[in-house]
Amino acid sequence: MNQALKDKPAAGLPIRITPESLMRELQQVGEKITRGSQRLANYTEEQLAIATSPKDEVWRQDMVRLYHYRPTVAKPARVPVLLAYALVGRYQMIDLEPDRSFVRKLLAEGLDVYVVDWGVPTRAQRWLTIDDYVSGYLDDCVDFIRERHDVDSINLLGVCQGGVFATCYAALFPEKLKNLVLTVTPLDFHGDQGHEETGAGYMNLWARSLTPDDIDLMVDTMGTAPGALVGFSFLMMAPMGNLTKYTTELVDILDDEAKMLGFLHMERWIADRPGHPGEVMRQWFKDLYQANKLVRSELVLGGRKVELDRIRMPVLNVYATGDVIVPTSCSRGMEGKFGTEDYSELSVPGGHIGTFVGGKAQKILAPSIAQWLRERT
Amino acid sequence: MGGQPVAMFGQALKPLATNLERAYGGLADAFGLAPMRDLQGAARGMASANLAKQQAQAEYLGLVVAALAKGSEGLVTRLQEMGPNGESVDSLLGLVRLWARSAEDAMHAAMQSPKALEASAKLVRAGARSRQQQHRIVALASEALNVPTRAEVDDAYREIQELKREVRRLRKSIDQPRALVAAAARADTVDMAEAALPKPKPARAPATKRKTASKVAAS
Repeated sequence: MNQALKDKPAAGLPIRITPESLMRELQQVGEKITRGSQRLANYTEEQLAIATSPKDEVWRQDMVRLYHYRPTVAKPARVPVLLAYALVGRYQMIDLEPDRSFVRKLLAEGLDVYVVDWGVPTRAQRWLTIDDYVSGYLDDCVDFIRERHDVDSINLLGVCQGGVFATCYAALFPEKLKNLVLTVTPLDFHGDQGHEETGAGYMNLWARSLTPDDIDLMVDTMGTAPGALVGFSFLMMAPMGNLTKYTTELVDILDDEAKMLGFLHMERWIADRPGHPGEVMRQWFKDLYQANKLVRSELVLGGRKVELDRIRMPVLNVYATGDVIVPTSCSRGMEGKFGTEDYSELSVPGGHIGTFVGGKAQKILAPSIAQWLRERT
Repeated sequence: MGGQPVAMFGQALKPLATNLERAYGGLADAFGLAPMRDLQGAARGMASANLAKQQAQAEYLGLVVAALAKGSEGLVTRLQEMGPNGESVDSLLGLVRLWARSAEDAMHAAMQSPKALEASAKLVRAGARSRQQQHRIVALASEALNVPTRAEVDDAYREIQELKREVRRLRKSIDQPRALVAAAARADTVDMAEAALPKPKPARAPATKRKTASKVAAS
C-alpha cells in the first residue's frame, strides 16, 4: 500500500488502522486468547478459592453463620469487632484474596474479628424482615460475642446494607455497642437529590421512579428475589463498562497471572450472588429509597422506632470518593443526625467495592479504623 | 415476538368469549369443564400479559439503541477533537475502548432520564404481571394434580416465620434477666441484681438454653 495513503486518517478522523496493522493486531489478540485459554484450563480449585483466611464457625441459626477469624497477633484487642456485610452479596468480598483482604488487615492491626455470614436465603426466607435480621440474627450474634468475651459491649462494623442494619441495631440496642463503624453506607437515601451525577446513584433514581404499588407487585410476584436478578441490576448500572470488562479489558490481562487471578476471584464472588428476601426488599425500597425514613428517624422495626439520636456511642462513617452505587451525598455529612458527640468521617479513594480491595484504599481503610477503635477502647 | 399474533387474536375475540361465558359458563361447569375453562382463561391472560411485556421491552430497547447511536456520535466528536491535538487511534481495541467510553456516557445520560425511568418502571410492571399469569397457570395445574400451590406453600412459610419470631421474643424475654445477672456480676453487685430480679417460672427455666441457636465450639 502507498505509504502516504497508509498514514492518512480515515475519513478525516485520526484513525490510523490499516489492513496490515489490523491483521497484526487480530493475530496478536488470537495468540493472547490461546495462551489465556491454556492458563484458564490449568487453574486449580485451590488457586481460585476466595475467603481463605483461617476462621472458625462459632454460631449458627437457620442459614446465618457467625465466623471468628483466628487472630494473627499474640494479644488481640480486648473488645472484639463484628463485621456485618450486605445481603446483596456474600461476605467473602471482605476477604477476597490474601493480599486484598480487609479482614486480614484488621487482624494484622491487632483486632479480634468476627464476621456474620447471612447465607443464601431461599423461598422459605421470603418473609424475613429487616427487623428479623437486626433484632434477630444480628442481636443474637452480638449477645453470643459479648458472652464469649465477657464484655458488656462490642464494636460493630457495617458494610453498605450491613451498615444500615448496624445503624438500626445501634439505635435499638445502644447499650450493647462500644463503637459503631459504618462503611459505604447509605443513610440519607435522598441525599443525591440536587447532587445528580451522570453514572452515579442510578439505583436511587430507579427506585424512586417506581410507585409503592410497583414495589408490592414486584415483591409479591418474586417472593425472594433471585440472586441472578440482583446481579443483573448491578450490571445495568454500567452496561458498557461491563461489556468491555468481559471483552477488551479481559484480553488486556490474559497474559498477566496476578491480574487474571484477581479477575477470576472477583468474578467468583460476583457470580455467587444470594437471593434477597422479599419483605426486606419491600422495606428497603419503600421505607428507605422512597420514603427515606432512616435519616428522619421514622423507620419502624418490629414495632419500635429507629431513633438515630439514641446512637450515643462514637461513630466512624467511612465513604468512598468514587462510589457510584451509594453516592457520597447519601452517606457523608451525617454529623448531628446521631445522638453522639464523637462523630468522625473518613474518605477513602475508590469505588464501592474498591474501598475493600483497591490498592490505595487498603492502605488507608483498615489502619484508620483500627487506630480510631484503639483510641476509643 | 412469536406470541403477538395469538395475543392480538385473543384480544379481538374477547367480547365474544365474554358473552359465550355469560350464556354457557354455568352449564359447562355443571358438566365438569371448569378446570379446563380456567386454564384456557389463564392462557389468554398470559398471552395478553406477554404482549404487554414485549411492548415494554421494545420501548426500552428503543431507548437503548438511541443511546448507542448517541454514543457513536460522541465517538466521532471525540475523534474530531483528537485530530487537532495530534492524538490518534492506532488499534482496533483502542477504537473499541474509545467507543465504549463514549457509549457508556450516552447510556448513563439516557437511562437516568425521566423517559427511560418510566420505560423501565413499565417493563418491571409488565414483567411482574406476565410472571403472575405464569404462576396462575401453574397454580391451576397444581390444584388439578392435588399438589400444594406456591401461594399455599408461601402461607405455610409465613406462619413458620411468625412462629419463629414468637419463639425469639419469648427466648429473649427469658434471657434478659440472665444477662442482667451476668452484667451485674461483672459490676460485682451480683447479690443486689439477683435480689431485684423476679423469680423465673419453673416451666420456663429449661428454655434458658437456646434451642433455636446452636453454638459450635471454636477449635
